Amino acid sequence: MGNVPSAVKHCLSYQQLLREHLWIGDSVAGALDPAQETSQSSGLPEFVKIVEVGPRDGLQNEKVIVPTDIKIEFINRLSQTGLSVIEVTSFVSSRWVPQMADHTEVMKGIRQYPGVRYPVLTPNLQGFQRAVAAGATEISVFGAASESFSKKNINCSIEESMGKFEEVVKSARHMNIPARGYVSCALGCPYEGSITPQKVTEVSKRLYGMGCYEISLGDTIGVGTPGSMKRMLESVMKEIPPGALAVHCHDTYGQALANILTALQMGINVVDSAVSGLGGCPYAKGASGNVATEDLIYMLHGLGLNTGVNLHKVMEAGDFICKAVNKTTNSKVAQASFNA
Amino acid sequence: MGCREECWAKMAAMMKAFPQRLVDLMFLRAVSTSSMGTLPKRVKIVEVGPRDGLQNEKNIIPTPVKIKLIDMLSETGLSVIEATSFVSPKWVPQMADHTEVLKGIQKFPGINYPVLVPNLKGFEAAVAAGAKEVAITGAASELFLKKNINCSTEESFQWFDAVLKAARSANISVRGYVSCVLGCPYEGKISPAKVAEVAKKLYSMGCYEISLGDTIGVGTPGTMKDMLSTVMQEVPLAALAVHCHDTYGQALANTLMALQMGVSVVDSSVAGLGGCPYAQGALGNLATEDLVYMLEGLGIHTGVNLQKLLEAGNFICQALNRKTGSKVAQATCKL
Repeated sequence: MGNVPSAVKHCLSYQQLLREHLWIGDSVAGALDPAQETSQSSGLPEFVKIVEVGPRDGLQNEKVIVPTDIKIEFINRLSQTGLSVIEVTSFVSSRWVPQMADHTEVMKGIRQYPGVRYPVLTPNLQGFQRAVAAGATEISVFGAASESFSKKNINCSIEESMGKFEEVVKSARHMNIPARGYVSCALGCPYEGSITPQKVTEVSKRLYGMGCYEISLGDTIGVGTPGSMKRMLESVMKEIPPGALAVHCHDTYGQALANILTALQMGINVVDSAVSGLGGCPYAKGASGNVATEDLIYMLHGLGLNTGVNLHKVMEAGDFICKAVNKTTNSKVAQASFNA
Repeated sequence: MGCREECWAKMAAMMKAFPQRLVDLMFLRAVSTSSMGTLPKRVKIVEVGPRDGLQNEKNIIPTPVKIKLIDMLSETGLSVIEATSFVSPKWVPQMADHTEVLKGIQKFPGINYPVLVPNLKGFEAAVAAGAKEVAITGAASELFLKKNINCSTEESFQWFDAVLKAARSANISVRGYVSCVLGCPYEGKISPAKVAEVAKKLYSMGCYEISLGDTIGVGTPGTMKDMLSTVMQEVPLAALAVHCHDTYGQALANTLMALQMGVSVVDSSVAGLGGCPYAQGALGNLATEDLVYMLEGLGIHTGVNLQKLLEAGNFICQALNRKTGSKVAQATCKL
């Protein structure tokens, strides 16, 4: 804006600027009281739990196969950022998702920090049993609000998939292992187009009813906007308490943070994201994937909300994995900060 | 209306039953979610790609390409397209061809083509080149003004006075920009009161609209809300616009917050053109395509044809030999 001098020599370095703004850096140190004040006056939740899905949802959409030791190092670094939930891998057949072929080695190889949970995806009973054998103490199952997506993605109808998940969740509960449920295509499907909020509610209710402690509502192809997010949540929240809901927004159309803000305003306080915005979108060539954890934290801290997460440490973990997969970060916060 | 009354009645009943603090929180939650239902029905998009976008691009674009971009944008349904800046080429080489561009573009009826003017000389040159609308820039940061245009806030007010007087005589509309409304690369935090002071000055002097710019994109929905709450007390809502940079990926969320507060004019740049001179490698303006996508999804009327907009964005990115900054464009491109 205005006239821009070609050489800007005297302004604050970006690192300095970021440190001086309350919302960057450690959300715990010093910012608590002002944070509480702001969040209370805005009607937003005081604390937001971030579920980091980079090592699973992020990496599984990356073309380059990441070596096991890199994955382990990546997860270990994330464990030191303050994140309390890190989705580690997926016990899916390597035929379908070659990136996750080393699921057992990764699960066994990571350092499990106290206070941090490491859920893994388990599409069926076989996967669940392998996960438990490898030391998993939390699992996730993946449903869809679209019949076509369910058929194409996991080769069975929604009803059939619910049957499989019921087996898994039952076994998990029997062993005192918490199970999280995902609902894909909550705001749109690459095959069916628009998805009714009622369908999302129906599938969410099934998963919640069978014992999933939390339901993550996923805008799988990122087509949602604050309007469709609001309508979908209004419907789901009639059947499931907001405390048991999470949103999982893809940033394919740049709508993720606006959609997440909408969800927060409606009382949701669990948000999934992927460091560096890892992962593409298999349904839109060239498109970006998950919302970047760094950009999410920036917004949450700026809103005065607590996350317990240190943004700088997350940025460092992001820098590490981007160098390892040889790609530029999708996080704008990282781009702005590291290149300054 | 009936729903709201029902809501209040429920609140009153609950107030009797619950401890005060809980009631306050519930009330606040109701307020915060009910604000989502008061989005404007129409939003005017001010396309700043050809000026704010291009002036931050390193590669100098030939004049015919700039003209073609603006002509393509004119066919998308946009009603305001900021064409160029009558600034000295010594400062902004990209805008050296301002006169040729303004004279060369097709001026479609119903579309405004404002141009930025930094001083009286620029204003006169703009008028001579046929400008019917100009834009002037103030800043909510004293240091930013000093470093950017080498004057103080007081001196900038004198300049506003001069140009607004001249514009009034020539029957030329003036739009006012306020930079650094959510943070300054030199001063850091900026107080909403300072933003309101500058905005009020520009408005009271005769600017028909004040565009509040998060110049370095550091704002978040919370700081946007605080700033707007203060400015709205001094300048009518209908005269306010937001101009968000996407340096930290916050632009669309900040814009949504502004809409929830009743702002109905949003600046953006096709393909998210422009970098940020204060953060190398960082992205600049909010991409018009991504903005239109959100507004359409919210059922808000913009009058803009997204497909034609994508074509204009594609054209300029090819000319600049760069990837688009719009995620919508990225998602719909065929590799």
